[in-house]
Amino acid sequence: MKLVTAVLAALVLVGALAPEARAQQGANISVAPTAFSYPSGDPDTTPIVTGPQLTISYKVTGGPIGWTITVQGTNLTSGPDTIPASNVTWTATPQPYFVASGTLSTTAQYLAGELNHHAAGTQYGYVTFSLKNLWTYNAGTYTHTITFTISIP
Amino acid sequence: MGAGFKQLTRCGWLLVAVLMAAAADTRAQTVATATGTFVVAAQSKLTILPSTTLTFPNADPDTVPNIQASEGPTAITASVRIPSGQGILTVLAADDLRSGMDTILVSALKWTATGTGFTGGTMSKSVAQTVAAWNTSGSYTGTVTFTLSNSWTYAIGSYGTTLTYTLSTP
Repeated sequence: MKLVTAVLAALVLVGALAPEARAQQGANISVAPTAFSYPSGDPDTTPIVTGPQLTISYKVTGGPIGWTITVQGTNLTSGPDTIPASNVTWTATPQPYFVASGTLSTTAQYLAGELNHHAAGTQYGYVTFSLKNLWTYNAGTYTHTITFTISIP
Repeated sequence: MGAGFKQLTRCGWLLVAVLMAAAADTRAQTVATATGTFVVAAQSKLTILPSTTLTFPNADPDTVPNIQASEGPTAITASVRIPSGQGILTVLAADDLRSGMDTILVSALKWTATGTGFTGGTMSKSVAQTVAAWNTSGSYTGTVTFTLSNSWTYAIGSYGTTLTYTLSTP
């Protein structure tokens, strides 16, 4: 009986220590603003329309561990009409943590990260999305959702 | 020892399981989203080249029954963004071709056309005539070649009229 009690106590102790050791490891991310607009323009004079700069705030705790941020977007839709997500490109800073530019996709694309290291406190990245402005788009109000995901090992 | 031991063991393992699950929650993967909006307004743009003036030179009606404009084919570029329905390009003459009191019926002016959506026709001063029509957004370029029927019945003079192109979207 004493042996059983001792074993159980040890298990409880190990279980208590495990979350305590991992409590420091975490990650969170937010983006501002959460809604933005691409400006309108004459496709002949403004073939690319650029939205406002978005601020990515992220924080990684615990370590030393790395982190990764990915980005993906839905197609822009207006009723039955669609503008593919691939018509959207992005630029980002700061390097070297953020990839300088890329094309939006409906699948997650690597945007930023570090291996086996992270800075202390909240960090910031800046992303700007641009859209091809084509005469072939039917008139309408198109919207799409862009998702940023932060991951740690 | 039997029943009590089993109960105690079960409680212990349950506690361990709960603690391990709590530990797993600290490795959170978080997500943030932003919504982008793009408003595409119905709009249109029309370009006519090389000139907005057409000149039909004098010619022998017996050998040149249909006179082509000296400027050659007119290139028309129409760009439209439409929500539904059609984008339509029409042309309407202000009057018959006139030289003082003398007139040549504007229906003597005809055209042929090339390009996606473009079509030939006969000029009118009362009903706008369709030059081109499209049912999808885009930028379209075509050529329109005008000819004027030539006749010995025309009085001597310098005849002219004004043609108005209208590009309409729903």
